[in-house]
Amino acid sequence: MQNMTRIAMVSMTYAMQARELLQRHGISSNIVRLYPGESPNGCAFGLELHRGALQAAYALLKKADIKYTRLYE
Amino acid sequence: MIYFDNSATTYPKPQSVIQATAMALDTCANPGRGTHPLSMNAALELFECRKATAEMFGASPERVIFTPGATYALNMAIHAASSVEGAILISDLEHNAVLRPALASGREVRVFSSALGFEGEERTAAILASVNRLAEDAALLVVTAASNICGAVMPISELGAYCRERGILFIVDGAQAGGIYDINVERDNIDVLCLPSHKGLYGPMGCGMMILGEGVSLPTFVHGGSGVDSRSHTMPEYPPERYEAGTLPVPVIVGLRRGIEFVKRRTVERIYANESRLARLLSDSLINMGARVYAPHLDGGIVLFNVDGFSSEELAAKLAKMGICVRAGLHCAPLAHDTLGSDGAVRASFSVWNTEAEVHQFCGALCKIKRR
Repeated sequence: MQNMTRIAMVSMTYAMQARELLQRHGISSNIVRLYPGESPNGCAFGLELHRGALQAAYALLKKADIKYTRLYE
Repeated sequence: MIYFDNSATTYPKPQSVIQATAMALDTCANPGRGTHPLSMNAALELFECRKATAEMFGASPERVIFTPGATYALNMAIHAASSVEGAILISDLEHNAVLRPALASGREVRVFSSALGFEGEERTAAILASVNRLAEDAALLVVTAASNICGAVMPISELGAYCRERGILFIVDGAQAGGIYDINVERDNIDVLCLPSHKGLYGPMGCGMMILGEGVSLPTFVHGGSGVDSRSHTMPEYPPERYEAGTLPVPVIVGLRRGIEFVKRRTVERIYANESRLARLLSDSLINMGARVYAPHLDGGIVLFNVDGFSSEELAAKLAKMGICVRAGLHCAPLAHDTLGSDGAVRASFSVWNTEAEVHQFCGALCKIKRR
């Protein structure tokens, strides 16, 4: 979907942490498997969320030191 | 049946644990491998269990690593730390889960005193003095938080502070303490805390946890599939997946989480109070009967004893025929038995379920055995 974007997380555990954190701040997201090319080493998980929430999500993850690998703008 | 073998494993398990474990076989597939509902159910359960564990033991959820058991966790910690040179310090109460990997590591192993002849602050000071005499060029200190054969607890906070000041890696065997005593990884300066699912946390057998303190990073010990970064030839960079290769025992972890919730509802303080009260009652009763009780002055939920005229194995076998479950022998802790002056004894260990009435029945059974 055009208005959705993804954040690549380092693992399922961090994806779960991130989803929970974002949910507490009113940002809903889904945990997804990333497509080939979205992760350098293959087999990765990420959060899919509304593009408009990306910057806020990024700020929250950074502040909480929850490890992600890439934000897809 | 009277079950006084809770140091081996707690029994029975709470109904919530039994039901959740069984249900997981129906509702959970392999976590961290896909995003279909069965895999995500499992991933969520794992995450919730990490959170519950982290909250109980003062750590971060991502630093809770699931292992096949506490013994594996101890082996992982002791052997993974092999890159740091120096001796290992262990106490004279350690279980073989510490003694054997310590000896197998090839390092010099130095044994410090648990100072059982002292009490209170004097005992803590005596233990620290013993450690201090042996600590030169030590790299690791591995200690049990509570003995598996008597009521001895070790001063974890004080040992943690000592190790932190001197840059000694501090590994704690929490097998007999988790869910019974207050242990906090952050407060107590613990670098690695190793726990089983199935003793004081009332979970099923088949899982353990290695909890890493903040900033602690160990080399990887087990290598295999992690569900992420599959093209990389190394394990992932960050815990917990870094240390969890292969498929985890999901139904056990699901049960463990309910066990932790059970302990939380009961509270560690009340659980300890019940166990130590029963141990005191049994210990005093045994002494009145003429039995030899080892270290009777110690508080804690475990009583170790012998009765003249019977080997410990014979006594345990007779008690088993009368529907009473205890454990005899060396309890995989020969070092601790040597420290207590025992060559094998009977151990009675309590749980949240045991009662005074059971202690009285136990003593009655022992009297019958002695009379025959």
